[in-house]
Amino acid sequence: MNEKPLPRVTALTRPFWDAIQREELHLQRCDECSAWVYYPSAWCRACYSARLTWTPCAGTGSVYSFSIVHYPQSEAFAADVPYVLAIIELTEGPHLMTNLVNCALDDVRIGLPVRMSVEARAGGFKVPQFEPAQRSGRQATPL
Amino acid sequence: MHESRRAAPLTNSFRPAAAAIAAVSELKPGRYPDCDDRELYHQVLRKFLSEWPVSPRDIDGLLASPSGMAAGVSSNIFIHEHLGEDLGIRPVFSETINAGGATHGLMVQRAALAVAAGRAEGVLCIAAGSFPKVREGGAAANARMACHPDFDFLYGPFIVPLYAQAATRYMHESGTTKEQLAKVAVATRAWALQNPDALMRERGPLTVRDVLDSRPIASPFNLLDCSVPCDGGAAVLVASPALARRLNPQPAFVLGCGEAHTHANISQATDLIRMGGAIAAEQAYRMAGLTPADINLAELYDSFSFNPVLNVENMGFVPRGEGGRFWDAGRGAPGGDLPINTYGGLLSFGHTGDASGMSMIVEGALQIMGRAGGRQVAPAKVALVHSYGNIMSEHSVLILGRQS
Repeated sequence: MNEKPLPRVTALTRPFWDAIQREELHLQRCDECSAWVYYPSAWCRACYSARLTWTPCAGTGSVYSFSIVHYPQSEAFAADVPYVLAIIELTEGPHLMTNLVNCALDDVRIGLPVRMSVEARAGGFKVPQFEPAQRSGRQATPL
Repeated sequence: MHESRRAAPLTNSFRPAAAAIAAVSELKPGRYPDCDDRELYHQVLRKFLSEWPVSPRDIDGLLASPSGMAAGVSSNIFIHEHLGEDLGIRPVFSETINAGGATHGLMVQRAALAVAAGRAEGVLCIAAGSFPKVREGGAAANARMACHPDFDFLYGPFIVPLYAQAATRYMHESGTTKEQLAKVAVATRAWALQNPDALMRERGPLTVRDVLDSRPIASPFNLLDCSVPCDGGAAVLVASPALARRLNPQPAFVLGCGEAHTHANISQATDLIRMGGAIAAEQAYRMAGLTPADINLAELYDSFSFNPVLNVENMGFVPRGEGGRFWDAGRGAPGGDLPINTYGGLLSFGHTGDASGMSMIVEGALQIMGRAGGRQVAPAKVALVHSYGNIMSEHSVLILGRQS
């Protein structure tokens, strides 16, 4: 497996991925209780309403937790080490796991303000990533 | 995220000591290259039947955990049928169950409930497993099961950096240091030196510096913060008090048990500090009518050095944020006042993949039975055994004791 993985896109998740291809972050929001819902779901996890609407998000947030990965999961990630696997807390509340990209390793910390970017994978398919809201200007360097 | 709505609190009508662990056997951890996965279960059975005066005819229940998951290959979810057939028995209570590393704790709980309810008298709980080294493949296949395959999986996760998410957050909130994590690995190695079966015994003692200088894998974990992958397996017989006493003058009675399931993906866990183990422990203490101060020793699932830091808190042994200081003070090490992972832990005994959750049950029971050899602790009247599955997604807590 030398290519980085791509998601299976389903009827449920297509609006999420279509928005990402436009470099926008859309998540479902409950029409009844206003809760944000992630991952894509057929019901609201707070009130179980089935009335959810895909809604644009700011695409901003902060680092909730992270790990600097020195040993790649597989060949597909071998060229990336050290890479950062992070949980991002979106401004709207939900937590997403992505990489933290374009960030000097010395700058990685919990609470770091981040914004969404995208990474093009096989066939030009874009997946969301997050990077510092204010670019450090330095390239990532190994610890 | 909601707590399940209940009309009344958990009643825990299970009567403490209505069932006991009567007999335990575990393979020496290592590599068993000439065994297919079914033959590894057979090795466990042969060892168990040779070490205890148990006839297959004493076994009317059989719970098995599937093998193959840790390696990311297909798992045999019908293994309970095969083992029943191979033993020539026709159990009235049998299934293959899975809750990751919590499987074995939950097997003992299910077995104890069945025995207490009169559904079975002797339930054999059995596991065999193989955990390949990360570089030998399987990390991606395993990660695909350990997190959302179409979202979290896209970013190169595997078991180590997934656990690291909880560790980084915990360390941030509590001020815990990498040195404190390293002290868990050092103390656990010290226990392993007293266990002839422990995989890392021959490597000798560890120092904090050894751990900090070992190769970084995924921060905050270096190589020696991680458990040691290997093959192995174990069997535990959960029996009625009458059958247990016939087989063993000092069974390990099940005084209390609890379980909790809080998330599937670590990215969606709403609390990385007070996790499901704390909920399971509260249930177990309540059922047993005991408090953390009553526990003489604890076996805490330690896939990484971090986990026993978190879990001395979640089990109620120290207040929130003080897990690191517990290990600074050497309280869990040989000579400490609350021995932890007395067999050498997954960190130094070995992590047998799909069977890993058995090792701490076997050790907790051996300590209560007074059969722990040179590493026997005293007093060993009450032991707590904690295990979890996936990325601390689901938790089992057992309280075992000498008294009936």
